[in-house]
Amino acid sequence: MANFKRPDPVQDPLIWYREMVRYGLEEGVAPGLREQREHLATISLSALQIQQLADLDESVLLIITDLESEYPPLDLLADSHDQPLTHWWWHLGKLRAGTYPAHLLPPHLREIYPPVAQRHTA
Amino acid sequence: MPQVHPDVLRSGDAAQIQAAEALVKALTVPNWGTRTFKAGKMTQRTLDEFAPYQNIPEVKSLLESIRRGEPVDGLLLKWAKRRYPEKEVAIQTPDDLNQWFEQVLRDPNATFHKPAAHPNSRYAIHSALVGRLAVVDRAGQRISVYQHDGTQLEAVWQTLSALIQFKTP
Repeated sequence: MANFKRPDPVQDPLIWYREMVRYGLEEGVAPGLREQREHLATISLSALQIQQLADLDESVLLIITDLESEYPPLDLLADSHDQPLTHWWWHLGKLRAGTYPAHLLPPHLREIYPPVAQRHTA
Repeated sequence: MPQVHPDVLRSGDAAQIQAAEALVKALTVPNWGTRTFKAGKMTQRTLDEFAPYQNIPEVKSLLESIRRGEPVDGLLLKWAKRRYPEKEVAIQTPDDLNQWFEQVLRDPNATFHKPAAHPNSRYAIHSALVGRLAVVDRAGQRISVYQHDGTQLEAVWQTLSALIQFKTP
């Protein structure tokens, strides 16, 4: 049997978010994703980790705005109205619906945020 | 062999019986289903992340299927993502992912979280013992397994030992 070591979130602060984005979100089950993203917004990350986080964020946006997805993460689409709009991860429902104000997104996400009219062919 | 807990059968609770039957099937039939990619940005990202490994036979075959829009084996896809782009040393073979999955469903204290009411929603089972979350569909197909710290899960519906039991031969 392979040796399965537990991850170390101190050494690898992106671990939980990465696992959720890459192996849970597209399957419709990623509990705690927004909380993990919030946590990552509060800690210091290396330049490489910031780049990796940006890449994961882009995946989140593309998955959430895919209206043809058979298994959208329904529990993540109920937005938290008490969270600031600039923390886009609390407003995935608006992002999916196309009602999120695009100018509040970081530039790399704004670039791939598909207008509602293009979602079916994106 | 796992089986539906007799108390669940006696309860007549259709939702619990369906969940328990799905768990038994997921444990006994290692079927991960298939996934078909449609053209789009996420598909392109998948192709891009495998591009450096395209000369490896299993990756080559995977990429060809993705490009042609043919169904891709769910287990092979998840294994290849961990094995190549993620370079995870613990996941050497597809069967390592099966082990990851089964370790969650063999933990009697694993928690079964209440699924959303939507008929397409899937079951989430978390094992604090191994620190992983397994995802199972309502028909008992293995969907995913990944590392999860166990926080922010939906309310616990049942522990695994209340839904299924392992019968000794």
